[in-house]
Amino acid sequence: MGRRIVLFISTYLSAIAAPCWAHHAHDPEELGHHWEIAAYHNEIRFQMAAIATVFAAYLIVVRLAKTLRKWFSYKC
Amino acid sequence: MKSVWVIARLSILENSRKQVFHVLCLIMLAVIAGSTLLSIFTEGVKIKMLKDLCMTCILFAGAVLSIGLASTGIPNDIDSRVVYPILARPIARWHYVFGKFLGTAATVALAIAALSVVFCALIYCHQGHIDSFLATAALFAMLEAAVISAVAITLSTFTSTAVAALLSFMVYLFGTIKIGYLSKVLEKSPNSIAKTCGTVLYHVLPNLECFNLKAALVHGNSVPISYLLLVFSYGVCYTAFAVGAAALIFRGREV
Amino acid sequence: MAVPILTDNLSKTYKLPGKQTRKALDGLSIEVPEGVIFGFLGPNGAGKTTTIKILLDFIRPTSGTASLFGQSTDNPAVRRLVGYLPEQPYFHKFLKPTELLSLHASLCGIPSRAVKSAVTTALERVAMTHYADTPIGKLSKGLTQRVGIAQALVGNPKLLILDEPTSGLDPIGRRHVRDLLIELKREGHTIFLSSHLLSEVENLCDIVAVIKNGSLVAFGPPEQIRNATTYIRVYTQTAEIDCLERLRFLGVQIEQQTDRMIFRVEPEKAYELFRALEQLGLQLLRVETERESLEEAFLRLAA
Repeated sequence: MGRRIVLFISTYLSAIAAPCWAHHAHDPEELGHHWEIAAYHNEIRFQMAAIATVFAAYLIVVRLAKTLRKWFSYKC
Repeated sequence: MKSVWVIARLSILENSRKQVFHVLCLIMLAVIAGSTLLSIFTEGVKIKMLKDLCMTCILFAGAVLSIGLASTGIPNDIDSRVVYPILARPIARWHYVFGKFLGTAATVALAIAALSVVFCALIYCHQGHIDSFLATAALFAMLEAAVISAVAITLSTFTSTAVAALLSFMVYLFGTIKIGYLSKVLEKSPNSIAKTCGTVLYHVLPNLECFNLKAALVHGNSVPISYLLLVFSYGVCYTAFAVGAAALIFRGREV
Repeated sequence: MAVPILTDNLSKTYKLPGKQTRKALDGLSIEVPEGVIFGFLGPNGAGKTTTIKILLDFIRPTSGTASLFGQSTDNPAVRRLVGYLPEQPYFHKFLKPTELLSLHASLCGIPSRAVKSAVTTALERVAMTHYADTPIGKLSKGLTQRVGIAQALVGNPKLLILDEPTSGLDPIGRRHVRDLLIELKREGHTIFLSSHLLSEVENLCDIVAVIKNGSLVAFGPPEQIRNATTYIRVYTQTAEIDCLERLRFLGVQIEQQTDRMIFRVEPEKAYELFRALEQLGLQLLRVETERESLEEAFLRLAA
């Protein structure tokens, strides 16, 4: 069963990915050097901001859960 | 923190005995043999093609080793039961995950360093002088390998070896082409649900192409320091985030 | 100091493929006092390994609590006081016993300068100094088991959780481990011993717990676990089957052998048995008392 799932996922994902190589092969100039393309800079900054946000949210949730647990144990 | 280093050291020893390193030797031999065939080109083209070949090999070897070692590390330890005596020690689960990651990343970094030294010597033989930018490009290849290792370890904490390796490969594939190809596919997608899911996936996937400095090495272009610093910070951030996620998932896992 | 091991109403249900579940532990409550050898018995699938895995925080209970030295099992620091030998221990085959033990000593938090002596002491205790520099992959099963025991002893833990410690050992090795466990107990260590070798448990353990289907079926000293009833065994010459049927009303167990008969009866019915045998004219050959062994008690409880 597990092997079938792996086979299915790999076939499916390969089918999605297949055209990209043709695109990559025929259109290299369109991409240019990535350090000169704004989309790369923007995506890097966006992801770093997202990581920072997720991390901050995690810290807040953990702190909140700890406080609530303490509060409930005190009440009980 | 001492336990992290102990596990990392064990992981390096373990990884260095794996058959995957035979691939590395094959790559080295193939490139050295291939470089002799480049003599049919003119001097300038030959050097460019050699650098291109070397960098492609470094990046490919980094990715293969990262996926191969990181996706098998934790599941193999669990399957072979060697994880039990280790986790029975006074260490937190994140020590184990972090140690495994450090060990894998260090092994791949050593492999990339070894390849870089060999290729540097090869380029020196053809060019007559050492290209110092190869070291920078190799450093960023190590960073890319660290990101892939971190993702593979995260996936291996909740899936089997085969699924983790497959998904890691897909992450590598899509991470390499995401801005050049995936963004365009998403723009053209008519289905709004698929578009939303695709956009989320797009932003979660690591941007691996930004670590690739092959073009700069081959064509001798200069890359702005600010960009290199940004990419370096991004690599460190993404790796830390993925390893943190792996530790969090593994903390809740029953072994 | 708090008791080394305490479980309270511990339950664990595993999810199986589909919507099936399997209850591995069902309200297990045990207390292991300090300084004893505690035998943990049960048939295969009774929940012994599940209990050990919960104690070491490899898995979490579905309900109930488990604690080591009064601290929750999910606190890694408490494992500083615990040494663990898994059933059929597996280690990285390329490591040598000294390397493996050094690694575990470092994981225990032993300072670098004390690691070497801790390793030597552990290897000496299991008589493995000769094989200290042989890769584990080249050692026999019995020797690997000894390395496993040495690994559990590193750091001189107060509590030892040993899952089948004599598995794969030859009689000399088994004897050596038995002596070692007695010595460790004398030094004040608490030993939690999961074993299938009932004679070993009977001779070594101060307290025994028998579990079946995840529940405790017996708990106490081995002499308490064994059936208190002592039987009388009477050997006589052979007799006709039909005349023996008259003895059935006494609840006598009769075993017929080629040259003799064996009658097994509770002591309070012995007098009536003797009278009946006299009436039948059977000559007594031998009379002896019989006590239930732990193995018999285990078979009775786990059946």
